[in-house]
Amino acid sequence: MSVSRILTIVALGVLITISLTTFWDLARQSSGRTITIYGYSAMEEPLKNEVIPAFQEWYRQTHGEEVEFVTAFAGSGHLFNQIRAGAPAQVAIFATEIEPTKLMEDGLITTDWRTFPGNGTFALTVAVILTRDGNPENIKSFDDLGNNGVDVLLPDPTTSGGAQWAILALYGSAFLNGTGIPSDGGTEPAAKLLKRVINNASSLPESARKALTQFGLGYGDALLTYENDALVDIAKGLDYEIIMPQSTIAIEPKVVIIDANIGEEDAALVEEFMDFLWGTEAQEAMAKHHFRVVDQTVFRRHATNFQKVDSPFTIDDLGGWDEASTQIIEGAWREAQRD
Amino acid sequence: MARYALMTSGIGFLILLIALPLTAIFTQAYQGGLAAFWEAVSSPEAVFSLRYTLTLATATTAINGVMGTLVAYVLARYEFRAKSFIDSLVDLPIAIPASVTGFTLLLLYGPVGTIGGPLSDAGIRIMFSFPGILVAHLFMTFPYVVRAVGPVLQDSERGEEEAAQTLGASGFGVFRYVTFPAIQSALIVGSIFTFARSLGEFGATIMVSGNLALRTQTAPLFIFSEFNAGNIEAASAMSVVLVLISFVLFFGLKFATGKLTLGRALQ
Amino acid sequence: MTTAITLRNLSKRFPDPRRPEGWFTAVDSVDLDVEPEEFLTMVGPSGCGKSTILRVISGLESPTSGDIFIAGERVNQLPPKDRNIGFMFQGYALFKHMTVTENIEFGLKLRKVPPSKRRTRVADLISLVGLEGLEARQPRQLSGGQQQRVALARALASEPRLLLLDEPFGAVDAKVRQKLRVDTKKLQRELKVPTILVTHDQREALELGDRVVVMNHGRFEQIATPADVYDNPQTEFVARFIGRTNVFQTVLEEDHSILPKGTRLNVMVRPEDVLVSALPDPSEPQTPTLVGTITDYSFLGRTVRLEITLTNGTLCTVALPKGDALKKKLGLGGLVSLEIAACHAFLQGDGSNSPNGSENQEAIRSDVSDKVASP
Repeated sequence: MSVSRILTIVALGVLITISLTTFWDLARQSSGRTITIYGYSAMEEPLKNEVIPAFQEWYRQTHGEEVEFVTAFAGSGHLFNQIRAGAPAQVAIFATEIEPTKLMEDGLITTDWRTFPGNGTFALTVAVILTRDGNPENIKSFDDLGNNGVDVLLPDPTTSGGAQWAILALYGSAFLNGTGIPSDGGTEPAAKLLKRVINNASSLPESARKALTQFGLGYGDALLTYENDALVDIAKGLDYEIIMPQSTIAIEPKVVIIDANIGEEDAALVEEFMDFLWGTEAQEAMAKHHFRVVDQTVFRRHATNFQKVDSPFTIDDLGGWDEASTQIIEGAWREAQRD
Repeated sequence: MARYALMTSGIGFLILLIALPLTAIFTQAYQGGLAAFWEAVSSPEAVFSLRYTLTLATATTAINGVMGTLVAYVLARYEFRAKSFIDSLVDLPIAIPASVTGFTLLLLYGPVGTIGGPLSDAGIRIMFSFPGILVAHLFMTFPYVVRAVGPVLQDSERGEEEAAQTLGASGFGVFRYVTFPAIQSALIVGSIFTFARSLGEFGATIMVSGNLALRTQTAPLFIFSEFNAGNIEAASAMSVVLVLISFVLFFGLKFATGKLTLGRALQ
Repeated sequence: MTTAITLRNLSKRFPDPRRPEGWFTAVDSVDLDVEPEEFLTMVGPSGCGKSTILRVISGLESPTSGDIFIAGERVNQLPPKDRNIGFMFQGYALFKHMTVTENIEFGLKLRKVPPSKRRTRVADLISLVGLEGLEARQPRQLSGGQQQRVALARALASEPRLLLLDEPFGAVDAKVRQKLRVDTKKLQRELKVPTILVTHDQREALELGDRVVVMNHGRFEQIATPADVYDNPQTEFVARFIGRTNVFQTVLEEDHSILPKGTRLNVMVRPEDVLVSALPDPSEPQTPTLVGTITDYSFLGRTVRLEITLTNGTLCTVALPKGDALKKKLGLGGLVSLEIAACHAFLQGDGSNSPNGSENQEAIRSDVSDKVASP
């Protein structure tokens, strides 16, 4: 047999294998009751370990049927790109409202999440500062992150949709002056703070999780992060201290349903899952994983685990997502970086 | 018959695998027209990242050009105990996932790392800055020059170098007049590969760069960042620029080596 | 008058972990004096250390012990570039990327000879070795013989104090080789540069050398004129290595002055030292002489080589002039008697200790005919 003939056969073999595996993969997906969930990184542990198993159990008992879950967890931006590119997500949990808004514009979402309880938020958290044990740099507020010689880590708001909360927290703390009322100097102090912090930033990891990892490796004096992530690490026994600023932003993740990916036969199942998220069982699970849940009865049971925020503010105090993303993320933040 | 089947499957595969995605990038980049393309690649962040990447690739190529030649020379010319071990070590950067390289460096040079510890006590920070990214790029691209120059050194007789010595050449003279001319074209090839690889390095860079726009963001990180932010146009535009640079490099390489062989044939 | 080069007690060992002692001795305590203008050839089997000596002399290897003097000056510590020795390498090692002119000019350039001088010198050398018209060529565009000439010219360019030639004719075919040998010898006579040539070809060594060094296992077996090496080999190795020779094993039947009866000897007889004559009648009784049958007959031009199987089965090679063979009517299958005109005997199993006194030689020779005939 000639070499060229062998090569031809090999090439054909490779092509056939590739096509077969592709079809097999496609064919495999349509069997049984499945629900596909995409979630931003922090959702992985509570959902995978508690909420999903609990739902499966509940479903088995009420309907006598098994539900299979297909899950993917990554940064919000990444999830958004995948879903827009055709990933079969049916339920998605985003850290911000930016991505759902775009998906709605694209027509993939038709059900407005603001019609869900809590405007689509079933658990929230706040932005905090994490320091080394004993707070050696004596950081008390977001403003202190701009002090000379403080090495700050914070995630990159361009890549991680969720990381935008950190910037908004910084900005808002200066802009709203801890009172909920815009300060006299207008946006000037807020822009200045962003500039001071970016000058102190030694790294802008593309996700909040990676920022936490780098902090764990010893980089940085202070990390701007989510309370739930910080509590996870402290629960692991790491020598960190959570600094709760007098005023910080309430981080409201949004759970949405991607209507384009939900067939008639799945609609009821998805709806039952959505209801389940606001139910006591799921709320307990989220609280256990250091989220401030929306169910006040459940939250009160866990309230001692959370530090009190004197003067919280929300995205609406900053004019809502539309304005916040253009004015602050795209505007003030980029400006601060360019100087 | 077999010839056509082979040609069709070979070229078809190439088109499917490489040409098609590249075309897609180009169309994506020009979707908004030339003005939009220009705007995307002329933002301060884009310009900075491109300049940063080119500087990085140049420095990487210069250092690995010298050090790679040195290692290739040692491996080709000297006999020592751990030689085969060292020799296989050279290729490892190709096999090790870039991300592993990245986090290993992050650990090693971190505030609690073996090297980073003493350095950070001295107030020196390597990671999240140019030196750190450079170290990662040096690591990732190390094999190219060594593997390009090595075989040439292995083939070239030691005799020529010794002849030069007996004719009055010092160590440097031997290198300048005999060794270097022999490895010159291999060194160019190795350097172009090094440069191109550095240009596109992502996996290790994203770990060690700190990803600071306008400070430590390389062009591939810019693409990643813009893509994740949903700015597909900016990401594609920068991709096109990188693809074009690489294409010019490799085309130039083809031309240069082609001319070299042509020149030889003519003589 | 100082010698061109002197080696004193020179040794070179290379580390070799596979050997029990941990090293390989390439050159073992050798002494050598090369006279000015002398052409010395060094011959031995491959791996005997002859090339290593050249490398040590040139400085490419440093000696493990011993001293090297060039024109009376101790050069052990001198780097190769400062020794001013012309070295022609096996395979020539021409600079591939340089032209003929550039190759020859290389040493002059490094030694900072002004360009105008350089040009005349290169032109002289090119005409000296007969490479006119090939100045602009690169090595790969030259024949083996031409490359050899470039290498020679390059080695000679800066008027070296000493010329070292390592297997200089190894890479050319037989016909060219003969011419190159003659040319090289002539050139050396003309330039009077002291020269050491290393070869594995004993005929080349004999043909070119004023003196010949025979080497084995890193030692010098003999240093002598070609005729001496051929006619009076000092050791069994030299006798076997230089020229063709018949080896007969024998035992002394009676006591000699220094050798007791029963001593086992190897007797070396050159093919041309065996006298052959045809036996007119095979039935006639043969007492003292050796008898055999011609079992092979090779015509070599001026001489004829015979392969003779003795009555006891031993093979003996004989060479004689063509005319004699015809005159004596020697032919394949013919019965002949043999007589040994000259031989060298060495104690068996001990190449270094040989009974070389001419007295012993004579005594042994008179015995030999019988001994060879009776195993």
